[in-house]
Amino acid sequence: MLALDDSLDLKMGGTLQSGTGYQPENSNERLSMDPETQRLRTIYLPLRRANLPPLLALFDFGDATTSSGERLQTNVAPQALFMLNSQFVETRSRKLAELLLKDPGSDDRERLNLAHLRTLSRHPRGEEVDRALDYIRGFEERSPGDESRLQGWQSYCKALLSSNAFIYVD
Amino acid sequence: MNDLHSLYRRLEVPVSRRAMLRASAGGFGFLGLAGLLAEESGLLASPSGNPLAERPPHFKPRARRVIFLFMHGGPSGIDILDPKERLTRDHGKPLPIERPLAFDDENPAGPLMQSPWEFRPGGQSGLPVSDLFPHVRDCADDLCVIRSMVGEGVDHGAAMLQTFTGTSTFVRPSMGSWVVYGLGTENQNLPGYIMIKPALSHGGAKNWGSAFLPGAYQGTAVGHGGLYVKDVRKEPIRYLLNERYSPELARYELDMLQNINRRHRQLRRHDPELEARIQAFELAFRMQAAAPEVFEVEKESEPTRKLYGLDDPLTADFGWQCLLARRMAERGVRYIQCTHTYMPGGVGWDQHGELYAKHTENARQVDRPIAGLLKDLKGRGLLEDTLVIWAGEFGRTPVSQNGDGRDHNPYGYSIWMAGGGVKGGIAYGATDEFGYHAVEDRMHIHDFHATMLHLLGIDHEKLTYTYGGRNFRLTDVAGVVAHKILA
Repeated sequence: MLALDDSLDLKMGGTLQSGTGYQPENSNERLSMDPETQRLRTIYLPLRRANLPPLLALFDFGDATTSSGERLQTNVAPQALFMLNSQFVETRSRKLAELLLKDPGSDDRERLNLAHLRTLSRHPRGEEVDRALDYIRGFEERSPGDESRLQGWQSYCKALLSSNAFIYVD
Repeated sequence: MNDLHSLYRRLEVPVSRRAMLRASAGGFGFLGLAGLLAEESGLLASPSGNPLAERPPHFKPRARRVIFLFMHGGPSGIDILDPKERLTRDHGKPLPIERPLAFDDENPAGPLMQSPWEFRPGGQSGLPVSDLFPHVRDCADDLCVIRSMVGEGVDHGAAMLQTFTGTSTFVRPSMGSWVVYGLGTENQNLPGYIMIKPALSHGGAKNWGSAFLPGAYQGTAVGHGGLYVKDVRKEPIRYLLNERYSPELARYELDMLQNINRRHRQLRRHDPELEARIQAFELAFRMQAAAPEVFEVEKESEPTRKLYGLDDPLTADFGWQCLLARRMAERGVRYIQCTHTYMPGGVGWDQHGELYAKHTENARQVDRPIAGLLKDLKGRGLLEDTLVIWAGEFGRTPVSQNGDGRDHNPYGYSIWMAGGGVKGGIAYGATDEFGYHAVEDRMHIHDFHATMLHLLGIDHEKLTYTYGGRNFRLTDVAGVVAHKILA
């Protein structure tokens, strides 16, 4: 998702170690690393085996203390809540919408094309175009204000990022 | 079956004999395997595909839910629930038996130390409880005190891990995860397993994690131990609230998403995961509408709020937790924990020194709220099928430390249970005359887990999960149900 809006930091090396690490392990102030706030690739994500970030656990991260031959896959409401309400998905969809609206010269169909290419690696099909543009207009009407256009596009991007088509590879 | 189905649907061409055989053979094989697995655990059948759907227990349960009141740090059983005359008589004398492995050998143990608190009989039963807990003592007739708890960890991390997962060394599913894995949950609009203000220290998230069980069974944290209640209330459960959109706008967006998803699924009918994820979003939407209501503790009546000690800053934190737990229990949450930990301004129960002052402070913070919870549950008829458990990760030594404190003692300590099918007004098991070792009706943590599952209608030997090539249980290869305490 970070890569889609050009936010992924491809820098090699570095660390996502949270804090300075001097707080004792038993400190109530010491939360495990929060993957939501990071932009480096996951390979730089340190894992405290004994204290996995809850977000990773939410998406069935493997047991970090033994080898696991197969990852579990569950489909539960708290994962959907993350897609609907988390700051991470909010930021990603906003950045993607900003990227789509950056060029004032392009028209909305071109923008939609780009959105679908970035998220689903395909062009929108005929009726998808009208439905999407209707949706964005509808959102603007329902939520008037300075940013309504950006918010309409953001909302559509969020729907794309939350969609089964985005998550599951055929 | 699935394969066969999809072949017809997807290809819409006649099926070759070979494909037919392969698909149906796999199908029948799978049916057999599924049957076998269901028989093995007796519980796993979940026709809806929802891992949290309610499932029937192995036998008639005495308790439908658990409220676990966790006292982080290790409250001293011999100062609260297990009076020891010998300590009073021999106060100041050396321990005449060999001292077992202790946690803190840098501060060597002192002599035997009598309890600074008086014990008095409570209720009709006359069950003794010390002056540390005068309000809980009023509920003595509901308490089933276990004086013979045994664990293996002498340090907090190991002892907590064992209390919560059964093992003091490995990362394993927590007891609440096993419970919701076994029984599912009654209210699909709320998480089934909730940890209120859990401690991030001494194991942190692994104490409510699901380890190798599916992620759906992990505990949902409501804040954490380092936060004030006023801050927890702003966002009680992460991602639960959508503050950016009105409900109408949120529905408008979700309709778009589901529109995309349904068209996508129409072209791929063979995959049940797609429909499952569509349903997960609908459930999430209902959850964000319904769940905030449970946190509206301020809507409780004035007398109720007072009963839990919400009127006093000293008891307001734990009182809020206990009242919230009752609201969750009422709404069908399966497993709830309230946590008294090293909270802001608090010290926890780990009194290596200053036992009198600090245990007094801790007890005052929880005594009224706990008694309030027991009385309120009882008044509403909920105590009958709610198992309330009060426990720390271990107890404390009969010998002093640093002059006026006590070291960790996992060899014989006290906890209590109430409601949910346990006898009230009794003390089960006994420690030696010093209160060091459990000597009668020993209840190892495995036995405690087995008994808790039994009360919930689960045979702990049949609640298994296959992982890494073998079956796992909460109770490993141990655990004996304490039948003597069953009502």
